[in-house]
Amino acid sequence: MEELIEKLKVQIIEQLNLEDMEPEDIDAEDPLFGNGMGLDSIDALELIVLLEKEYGIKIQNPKDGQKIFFSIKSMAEFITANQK
Amino acid sequence: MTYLIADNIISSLGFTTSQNFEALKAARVGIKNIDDKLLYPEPFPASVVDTDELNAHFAKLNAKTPFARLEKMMILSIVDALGKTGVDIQSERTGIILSTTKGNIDLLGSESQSSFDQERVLLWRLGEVIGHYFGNPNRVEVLSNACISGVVALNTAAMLIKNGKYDNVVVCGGDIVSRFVVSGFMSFLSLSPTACKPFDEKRDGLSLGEAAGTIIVSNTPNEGQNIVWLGGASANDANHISGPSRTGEGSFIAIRKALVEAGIESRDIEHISAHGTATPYNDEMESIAISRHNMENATVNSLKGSWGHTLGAAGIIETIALAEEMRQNTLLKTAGFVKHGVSKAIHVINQTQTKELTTCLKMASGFGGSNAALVLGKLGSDGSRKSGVGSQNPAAGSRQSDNLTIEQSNHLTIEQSNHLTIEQSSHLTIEQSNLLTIQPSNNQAIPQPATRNLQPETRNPQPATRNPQPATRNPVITTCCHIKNNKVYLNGKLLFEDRKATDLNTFIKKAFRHFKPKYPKFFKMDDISKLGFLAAEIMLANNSGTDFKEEEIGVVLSNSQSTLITDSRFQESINEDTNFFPSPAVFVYTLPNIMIGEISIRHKLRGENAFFIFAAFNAGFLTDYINGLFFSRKIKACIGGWVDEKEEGYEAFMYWTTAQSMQENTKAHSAQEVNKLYNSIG
Repeated sequence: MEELIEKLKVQIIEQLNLEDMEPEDIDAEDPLFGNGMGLDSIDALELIVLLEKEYGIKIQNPKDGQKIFFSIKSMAEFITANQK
Repeated sequence: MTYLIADNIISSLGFTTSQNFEALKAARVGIKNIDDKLLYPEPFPASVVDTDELNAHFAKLNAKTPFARLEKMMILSIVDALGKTGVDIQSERTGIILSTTKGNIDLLGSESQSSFDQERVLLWRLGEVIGHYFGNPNRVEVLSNACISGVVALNTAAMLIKNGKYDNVVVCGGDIVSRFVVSGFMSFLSLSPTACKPFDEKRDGLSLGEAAGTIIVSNTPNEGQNIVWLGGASANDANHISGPSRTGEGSFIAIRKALVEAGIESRDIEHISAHGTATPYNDEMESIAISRHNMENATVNSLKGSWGHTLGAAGIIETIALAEEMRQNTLLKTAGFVKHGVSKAIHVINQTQTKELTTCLKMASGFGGSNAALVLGKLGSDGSRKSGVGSQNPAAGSRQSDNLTIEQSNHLTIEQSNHLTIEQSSHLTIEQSNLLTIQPSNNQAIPQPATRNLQPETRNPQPATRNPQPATRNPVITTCCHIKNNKVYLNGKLLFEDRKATDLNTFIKKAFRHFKPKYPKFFKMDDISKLGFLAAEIMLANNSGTDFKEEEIGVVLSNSQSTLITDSRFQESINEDTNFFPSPAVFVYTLPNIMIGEISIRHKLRGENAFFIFAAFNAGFLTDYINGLFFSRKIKACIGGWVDEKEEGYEAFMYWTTAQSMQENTKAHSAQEVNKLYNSIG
């Protein structure tokens, strides 16, 4: 899980162009949206693409996104539970 | 007066306006399930033009060279509209404006094994192809401002008619359903799985459509045509590049400015053709804007449930349908609408019905926070306006004259005039004038300005909202910024240089860090938006004269490539079905006006927006357009410029212009001065 969390941090920084951010700046339990890392609706859509592209997981209902993308940790848990 | 003298619509519902209107009256829906792996790996609903039928119609024109799909649609549309008029398309007094978001985007990438040259995908080239087909002697102007393009193109045409540049303007809007656009909207999760349902409580996204539409706008009425353009405006939400404002601010401002120009009040609007894309946020936003203007009694419809969202054509074909509704006094139902699903009590109609119509509103909104509106009026049998506050104002008649000749006057005040001849005058006051040359003379006629299109346009006085203003000062340029060859200049002075950077991406990020603005979203932008954003940032940071209201500041930009480099990046992600991962964050930047949105969000600018595509920097049109906005009192300040990115290099030139008196370091906002400034950095 720890390994996956670290990998996700790097992928998210890369995919979302969080240029001025380093993996160690991100707390795995911090909220990704709202006051946390300040991501917006386009970032949320981009995370859906990331899950599909990197982990082969397709989110059927976009409304589930809120829970899955709450934090890096929740994303890692979702990936672990759903990866084939 | 600006008359709508002829039109045509080519869509899934037919190849003429009447075929389309009859289909709409009969509540036919053009949106069908499309199963075409070349367009998208899975089936999706959309409204498309039948290819065989299109080719059959086009074959009748006996064209000697091959044309792309969109070109065929646009040419056929213009031919049909022209045929209903005596307009000479080959006259210097006839202009052409195209409105499109993605033009010949099907020529990009592997979806097309095309024989066309690579430039054919560029929007200015589309303009050239259309202009050349018709033998039009003028440069065809191409406007690409996301989904408000059509409405802004019509407003631009009206401006060119009013300021005397042309007698007739052919406005043609078009876009096609392509793999590029379908994949992009899919990645945004904004497509409904069924035909879209505007304003309905169960609405769940838009449907895409393709169409071409043409309106011929003229300063002379055509027999039997009694619909006139009364006013129009655009405005930015300054909120988000893809999500509409939650308060409807931009739409509210655009509507208000359009009403002011039309000389009417919101209560005069009987019917509204909304943008109505059927996404949850857009329709809600529009209901708020309508409600804020207290137009709850006006009927509202959206035709996107029938045609889908036809992007750059939408503003044109929906305005044609609105004009036809007014001619036939018939309201078209909103296909897909069953139960009211927005928070405000607006009157969306679900039945086609008759209603006497004289004054109507068209709304449009799009990515980049852009909004636009225009007002149409119907003339009575005597050629006058039947209703509306503006037409009831007696001052309109006594205070305006198209051909005013005054032989002698001691205290002459003329607010605006198209053809001004003054033989003698002791105290001459002209409220608005750009480049009006008055030669010192005693008994000699004052010559008319040499450049017709720089003359002030006529205006309907708006007694309710007009404040007496001091004599308007001419627009002047106070600041400019150049970014090119890895150098940043402000007012000609080198501020930053990086000799090592080998590409725009590396350079622009370094430059950004050098100037240190706190704005993490900068890094999310595509390179050309970064370039435009940084130019505006540097220019406005050093600008003291920004004490204008948000809605008084316009942004009018241009380039030659639109967003070709970002387009290619997006295209690469969708070329193969086996490696098909369209990125929403890339797709959103495949519209040139997103740059305007980014600048507007950063600096809270809510005035007029337009993005034009020129083959090369065109100071003449740019200054005419911006000066036209000043003279119609839609803006008091404006960012103008050129922000272009090619494989071989990039270039940003941006300036700030305001209406103020000339000072030591200011220059007149004229084509000559803008060209000089543009060329001042080699």
